[in-house]
Formats: sequence, C-alpha cells, structure tokens
Amino acid sequence: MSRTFDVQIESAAPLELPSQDATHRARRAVLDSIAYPSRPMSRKRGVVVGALAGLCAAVAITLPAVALGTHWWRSTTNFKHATPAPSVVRKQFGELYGSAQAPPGMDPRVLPLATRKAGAFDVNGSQNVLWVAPTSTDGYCWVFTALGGGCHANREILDRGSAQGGLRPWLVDVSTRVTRHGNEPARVTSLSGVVSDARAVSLTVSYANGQTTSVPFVWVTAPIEAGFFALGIPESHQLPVSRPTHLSLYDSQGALLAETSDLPSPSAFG
Amino acid sequence: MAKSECTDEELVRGVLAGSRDAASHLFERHWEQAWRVAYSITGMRATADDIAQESLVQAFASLASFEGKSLFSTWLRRIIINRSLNVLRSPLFLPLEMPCHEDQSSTSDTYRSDEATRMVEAVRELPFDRRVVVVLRHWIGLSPAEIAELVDVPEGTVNSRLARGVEQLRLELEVSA
Repeated sequence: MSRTFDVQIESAAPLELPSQDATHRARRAVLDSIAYPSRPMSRKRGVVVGALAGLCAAVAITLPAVALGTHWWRSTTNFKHATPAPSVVRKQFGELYGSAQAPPGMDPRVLPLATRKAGAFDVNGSQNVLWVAPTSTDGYCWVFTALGGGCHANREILDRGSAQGGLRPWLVDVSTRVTRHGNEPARVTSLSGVVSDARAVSLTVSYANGQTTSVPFVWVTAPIEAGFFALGIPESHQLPVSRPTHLSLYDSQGALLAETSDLPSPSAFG
Repeated sequence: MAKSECTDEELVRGVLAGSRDAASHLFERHWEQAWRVAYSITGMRATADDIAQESLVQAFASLASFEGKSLFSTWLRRIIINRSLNVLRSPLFLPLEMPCHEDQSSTSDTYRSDEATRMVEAVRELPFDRRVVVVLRHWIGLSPAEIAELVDVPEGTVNSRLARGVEQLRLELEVSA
C-alpha cells in the first residue's frame, strides 16, 4: 500500500474539540471524585444489596417466563424492574424527543431520565434493543435500536371510538422498513410498532399470498401500558407478490380487537 | 515550581497526596486528547463526552494502581480505547446519534478539504472490525502489536484487517472522486 495514501488517511484524523459544556461537566465529575472518594461497602451492607439485586434479577427473569407460559406470543416486561438506560441512551433519548426538537405544540414531554430497556428483538439476524420512556402527559416514547421509534404523547389514541367498521386500525401503529439495492425491486424487510389495547394477547401478520404468521410482542407495564413488536420479514415475503398486507390484534378469546389498513406495497417506495 | 512545569508523574503524586490543584492540572492537560481519542473511535460527540468523562473519573479513582511503568498519557489512552470499544460492542449501546465528521455546531473552526471529508466519511462506513484497526493505527497512532493486544486478536489478523480496510478506503475514494 502506498505511503502517500497512509499519509492521506492520517491527515484526515478528526480535529474536533469537546464542547465547553462537556469539558465543564467532566472537570466537575473528575474533581468531585477526588474530593469525595467512595468508601468500600461494608460486608453486611454488601450482602443485603447483593441479595436485593439477586431478587430483582429473579423478578425480572421470572415475569416474562410466567407470561410466556400463558400466552407464548405475548411476553411482559415490568417497567419498574426493567434495566435503566445508561446515560448515553438517556441523553440521546432526550435529544431525539426533547422539547428542543419538537415543532411548536408537539412536544411529547418525554422523561428521558426514566428511559428503560424493555426488550430485545432479533430482526433479520441483528439484535434490536427496545428502549421506552414515559412522558409527563401519561404517554410514552420508544425506540428500536436500528429501526427508529416514535411517541404517543398521551392516551387520546384510545378514545377514538369505533369508526372504520370497528377495526380501530390506530390501535396497531406500524412502521414499514423498505430497502432497495441498485436496480433491484424494493423489498419490505421489517415491521415494527406498537399495540395499544391491554386485552391483546395475539398479533398476526397476513401476507398477500394468503399466509398468516404470529408476531411476538412484549407488553410493557405501567406507566407505559403498551405492547411493542419488531419483526424481520423473511425473504419469501419481501416482494410485492407475497408482501405483508395487514396486522391483526386479538384478545384471549380470539376476538378481533383491531386491524390495520393495507400496508403500503414496497413498490410504492419506488 | 509552577504546576504547568510539573511532569505527569509529579502531578499524579500530588493527586494521591490529596491536591485538588494537581488534579485540576492533570485534567486540563489530558482532557482534550482523551476526548479526541473517544471521538475518533466512536464518531459521535455525546458518546465521546460520556466515554472521556467516565474514563478520566475511572483513571483518577485508580491512580493508586498506576505503577508508572508506562507514561500516564499511555495508561489513560488505553483506558479510553478499551471503554470506547466496550461501548460500541455493547448490546445496550443505542447509536441514535448520527456519526458526524463535519459537525457544524462544534467548537472547532478548522477547515477540512473535500478530500479529508470524504476520507472521514469512508472510514466511518468501514465494517466495525476494519474501522477499529484503521482508526487505532492511523488516527491514534498505535502499532499493530498494541492494537492486537487491545482488540484481543493476533497481530497477523490486525495486519490483514488493516490492509483490507485501507484497500477498501482506496477503492471507495477512487469511485467517489
């Protein structure tokens, strides 16, 4: 490899500097850690904290398992016992959904410090972590690591009545991801979104060729009170002829609670 | 002697003796470089803020274990690189922040040529394994042996990833030129 090209790479090294705000925060954190060094935990306190941590872990693991035993398609995450998001995620959540980003009158009033990990979904071979945070107006915001997310700033969505033949499509809020390589036709590669009816225990996706499959979703307890799903679409269902057409939500008796309108065909994306 | 003339090792001894002044000087001397290492690896400002801050807190908290076998700056850089790689590999890491090469809102007023801008974009788009070795080698200046130890692969693997990464960069820049 030519020496000139190596020099070209080296000369492109980032020249950015940290912001004054970041510098100020870091200086304070470092100096405070010197001024007030943490004390080693006493043996007795350590045992109690360890036992509590073990109990919490057991609760966090057991709840989904019990729920899975009852309805294998719906698992439950107890929000209050879910893993708090690390600071970098909380900060990014705030930046994504915070007041500064919202158009006038549309601030979801998210509470980023309360962001928690609510689940993880395998989508086309890669793991997507689901992060959720409540809003100060009884709603919530969510993000799937690589699929994006959104906010339901309040519960108005539940009060829309039973228009559109009783199908209440707004109770299944779905985003479609479409990809296209070169001149190949566009393909729908994943579906992700939210279900907003607490009675829901089963979600299915129907395809244009008449097939139907179950979509696992995780119900997140109060204050979120919503279900989340992220589904990788198998190659055999990515093209228009066999594409996903709609999602249907059912209660434990098998009664239809909600059904989406027709999902857009990948060809609509060009 | 003014603190600015002290060596890092003298400042470390000062910090261990409880001097806030020495800690402040040590911080000022290394903060920008620490941040830049984290930023070079992650390409994200907020992530670099967190990593650099947490690494410095960790380093200062464990100064007593710093044996002076290497330079303080080398020891600190190692902490930052390890933390940066751990963050990027973590399933909890949420890359909501878009990697940026030309952050218009940053405090930097440096001018970058189109060529350098394209190079940074191309480096950011390399697959993770190649990007890490290219950044550590060419932007941070580590030797292949040092990189091998940090990323826990044989030196030969580092060299082949480096060669493939650089070749990919060369091809992509030829295409985009």
